[in-house]
Amino acid sequence: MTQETTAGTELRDFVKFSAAVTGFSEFDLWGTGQAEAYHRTAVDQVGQESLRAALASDPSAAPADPVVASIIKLWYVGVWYGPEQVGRTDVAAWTAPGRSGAKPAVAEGGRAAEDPSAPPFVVSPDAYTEGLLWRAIGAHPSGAKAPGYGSWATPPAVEDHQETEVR
Amino acid sequence: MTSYDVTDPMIFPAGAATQTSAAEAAQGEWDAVVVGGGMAGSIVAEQLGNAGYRVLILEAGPGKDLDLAEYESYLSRFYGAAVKDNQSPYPFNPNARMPRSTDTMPVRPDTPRDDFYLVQEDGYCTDTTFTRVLGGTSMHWEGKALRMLPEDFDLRTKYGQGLNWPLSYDDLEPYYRQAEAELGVSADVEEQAYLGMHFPEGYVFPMRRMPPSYLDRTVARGVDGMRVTLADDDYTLRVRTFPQARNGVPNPAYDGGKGFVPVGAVSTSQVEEGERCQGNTNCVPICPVQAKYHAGKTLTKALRRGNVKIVTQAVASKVEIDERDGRVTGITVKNYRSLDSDSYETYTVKGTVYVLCAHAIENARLMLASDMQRMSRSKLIGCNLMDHAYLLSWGLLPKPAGTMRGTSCTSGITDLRGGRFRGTQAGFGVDIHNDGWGWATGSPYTDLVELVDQQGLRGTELRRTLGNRISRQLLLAFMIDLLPERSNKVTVDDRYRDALGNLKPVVSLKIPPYTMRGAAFARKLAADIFDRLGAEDKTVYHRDRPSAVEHDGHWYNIVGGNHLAGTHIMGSDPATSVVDHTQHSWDHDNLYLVGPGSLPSIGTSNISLTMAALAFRSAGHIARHLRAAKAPVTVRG
Repeated sequence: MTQETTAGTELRDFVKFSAAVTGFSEFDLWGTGQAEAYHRTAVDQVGQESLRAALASDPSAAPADPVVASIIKLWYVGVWYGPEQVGRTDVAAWTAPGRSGAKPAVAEGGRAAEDPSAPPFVVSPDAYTEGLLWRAIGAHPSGAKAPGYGSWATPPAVEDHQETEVR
Repeated sequence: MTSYDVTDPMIFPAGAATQTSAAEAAQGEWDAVVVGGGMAGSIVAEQLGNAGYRVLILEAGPGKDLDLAEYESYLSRFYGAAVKDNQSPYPFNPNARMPRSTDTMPVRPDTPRDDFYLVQEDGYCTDTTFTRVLGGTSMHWEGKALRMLPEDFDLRTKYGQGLNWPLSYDDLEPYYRQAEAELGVSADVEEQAYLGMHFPEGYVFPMRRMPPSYLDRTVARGVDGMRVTLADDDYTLRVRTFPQARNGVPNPAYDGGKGFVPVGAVSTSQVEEGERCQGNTNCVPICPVQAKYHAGKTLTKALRRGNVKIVTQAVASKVEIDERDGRVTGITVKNYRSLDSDSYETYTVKGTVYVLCAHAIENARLMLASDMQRMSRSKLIGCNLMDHAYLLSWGLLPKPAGTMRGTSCTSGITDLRGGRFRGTQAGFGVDIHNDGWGWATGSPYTDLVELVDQQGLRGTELRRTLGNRISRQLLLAFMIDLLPERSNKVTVDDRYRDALGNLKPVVSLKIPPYTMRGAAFARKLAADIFDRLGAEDKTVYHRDRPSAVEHDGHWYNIVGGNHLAGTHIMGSDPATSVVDHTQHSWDHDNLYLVGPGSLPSIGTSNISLTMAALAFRSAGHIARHLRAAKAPVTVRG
């Protein structure tokens, strides 16, 4: 019982902290159905101690705890980018839908690593479609949750901004 | 006994794609053996099957069943893939590999042999791809379905560049209409009648045009009426929608008022998918709902009849030739057991005619691996490899424009596809990308990393900044003509083989000055357009990438278009072409090479519609060939 309660508290703390750093409400985060999987991923990847330290860190500290950045990106796109990959736009480009071009030197599968950092991974197929990024940009994940025929012709609505008809 | 609805074109019997065993495939003689179950192969097989002939399709890729479940597994693999390039939905298959843009690298002696499929040893490497699964590259194509311009068919005569076709626009026009019906094209005729493209009186496309995106209309405000001067001629630009092989709103006036019924998702049971495009913004690498045409829709029709059969995981490995008369005597197949094992059985299939429909690179690779260049009068197998040269330009609009919504691309600028300037520089089409800067920069994921990691944004500030920034992205992709050049080619080399021992394709593609003059002009035009829109130009080219090309002291990145063509070009002389105007081999009487490899030029049209039109045309000629070959012994109903 005690263990379950502790686990439950840690998950709630994780979501509460995540809400503050992502800009989405706890309600939104629980609604993705990904909270447990993301918490488990963070624990598995950096360990309980590092995660606790990150959750206790000052979100506005500079330089920020890189684990915090990993957690934000996890919620936004469902990809775990290890803390050692902080700032790596080349790795991010490689994981974005639609990108072509050569991959960066990050280990993949059984390939010998030219870079010692662990490869990024998508937590699950659902983690991709539940990414918060798409909501933040007034769109939908490429290939899922389609808004419907002709929806693309309407003026866009993004955070604090509603366009009006062009003509 | 069939339990499927025979009136429904997308429903077919479960297991239809696997019902042919290796033993059955190798037994006796088929009327036609078709290599490749993609767009060209499916059209040829369906047409010959419809004419009553027995057809065997050999498909190198997996495709246990053409069922919705398998299609959905592609989608799930895409969602879960860390690398979401344009092959990411399709499983890695060591036995029938395909190029991946992420593998683009100059191959040197120390490169591990499994790191690449397309072997490129030059400094410039193309990241172009094609797909080897059942349905072929039509699984990941974008679905743009432009006709070629009338002037594209006699570029040499008109402008002293490239090659003339042995066919004219008018010769192909009825087949364009047939292809537009098969692929289900959405467009409005009145918007597509430009630069000499003409349609018969009263013709309408099967479906109305796709609505232009809000982004398109934002760009149109700056572009419509813009004037440019090129080679002493003035051109007025406008934003125009593209014809697309994607289900939209059927045009009630189609076919003399009979209307058009779109073909939905392929399945063994009734599903409510595949109707109108839902705006998934994911045409490439896979349409989640099958609103976009893929060859499975044609293949399903072919396989229901019973006289068209298919074997999958069957890699055509050698074309067997009778040295005395040059006739093809069989195709030797390596039929592998699974994607995880390199064990396979070998057998030879026989037909009255053989039709290679394995796409430009694989058709050439197979013929070269079969030592057929030796018997070729033109020695042009594999030569004249073409692909559109893409130059990307990207800018940030002053206000949110709704980027990341819609099909991948709904409109563009097509006024500079043709004109007298083609005597000195390449024509091009311009795509307005609804999916933002992704192709060029890896946005929106790179924006996320920049804002979170580099700028330290958190909470609502992060959320708001991302929304504002990505919704303002504008990417213009210039699709530039690349003329046939003998030195741009596919070859094979004994040093490079795949897991089954088949030779890998070795590609050498250089971007010539004619194309680069078009690119340089395109770059300036992009800057002018951004200026008129009040957009901040964010374009950066990198000279250290394999896509870097220098022209006139400036560096550009030219990326691949996945529009591979020209490795067995058609012509009117066996000394200067590989096939005739019916895609019939000049050198082997019972062999047809059907696909984009036959195109003697690609102009500024995405190649699929033209390839499909040519496949319909050739299917008629192949049926006549079979009728003549079999008439004395077989009566067909």
